[in-house]
Amino acid sequence: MNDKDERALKRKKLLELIDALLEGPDQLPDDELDDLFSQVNPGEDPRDWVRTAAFTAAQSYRIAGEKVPYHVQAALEATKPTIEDSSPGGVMKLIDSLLNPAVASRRPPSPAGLTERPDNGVSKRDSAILQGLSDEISHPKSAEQEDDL
Amino acid sequence: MKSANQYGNIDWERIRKVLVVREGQLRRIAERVVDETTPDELASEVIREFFNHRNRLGWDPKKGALEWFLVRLLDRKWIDCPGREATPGASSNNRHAASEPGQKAENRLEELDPHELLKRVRDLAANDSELVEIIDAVELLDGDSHQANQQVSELIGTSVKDVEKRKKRLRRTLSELRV
Repeated sequence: MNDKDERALKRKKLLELIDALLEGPDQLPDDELDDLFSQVNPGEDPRDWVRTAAFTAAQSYRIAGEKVPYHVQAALEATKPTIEDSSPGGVMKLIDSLLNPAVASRRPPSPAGLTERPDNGVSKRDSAILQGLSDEISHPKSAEQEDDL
Repeated sequence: MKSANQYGNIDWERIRKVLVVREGQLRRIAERVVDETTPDELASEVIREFFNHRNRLGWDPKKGALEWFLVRLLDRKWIDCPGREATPGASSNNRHAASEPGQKAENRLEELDPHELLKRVRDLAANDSELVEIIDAVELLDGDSHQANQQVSELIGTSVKDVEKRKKRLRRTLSELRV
């Protein structure tokens, strides 16, 4: 037996011993596997993680002008988000967007969204003018009020 | 003819969990038993390499489960890690890394004798006689880890369930102990 074989055998024995001592995680029951996983990577969604990794790999293949291999396609398919994965709120939003596709947002109108961004480059004075215009759009003045002006 | 369906039955969520937990176990052994460190993200590296390799790193579904294949790959990487060639400017969290570019680092994992590993684990669990009993029995095994619990239960005269419970305690002990 040469040095390389001897080293390979030694490694194999060491790993077998660790398996016998601690159990390979592939032999652990699901509940303990879940517990241990959340201790090591708290907050991670494993399915989501795999999907992101598969998606990144698929993009690299496409950028290189190559066909995405079957094993990557299958991983993307297997980790596709389903309606069961969504929170109750998320499901309602999904249904709402399907039933009311034209209503993008239910928030009150803002002047072109400018007031929501602190770095929009609009002065306080301009912002007040824009807000006034926005109020006018929301509550149009009557013809009588227009005449008073 | 090959198609994506051929790889459709893979439970990726479980594979990710198994690899992350395995990395955690090996890391604890390296840190608390051998006083060695291993690079982060081995589990992630293994999955990314699998996706990035057009031929699936040589894995064939007919030859066995992907879970098992990737765990073995991670194990090999773990043993090899401290021995990686140092490259100029490369950062490493390995305290035994080679100081000169191209110089082979000392690999304390690779050099670790299996009996020495058991001795150190035994020292760490010395306060719990039931765990020491398990470790002593594991030392007598013939290497077939799939039947390990059955063999250990026969050696110490207890049930397989009790062996599983004690091993669970041993895993917890190892993860809680500080070097």
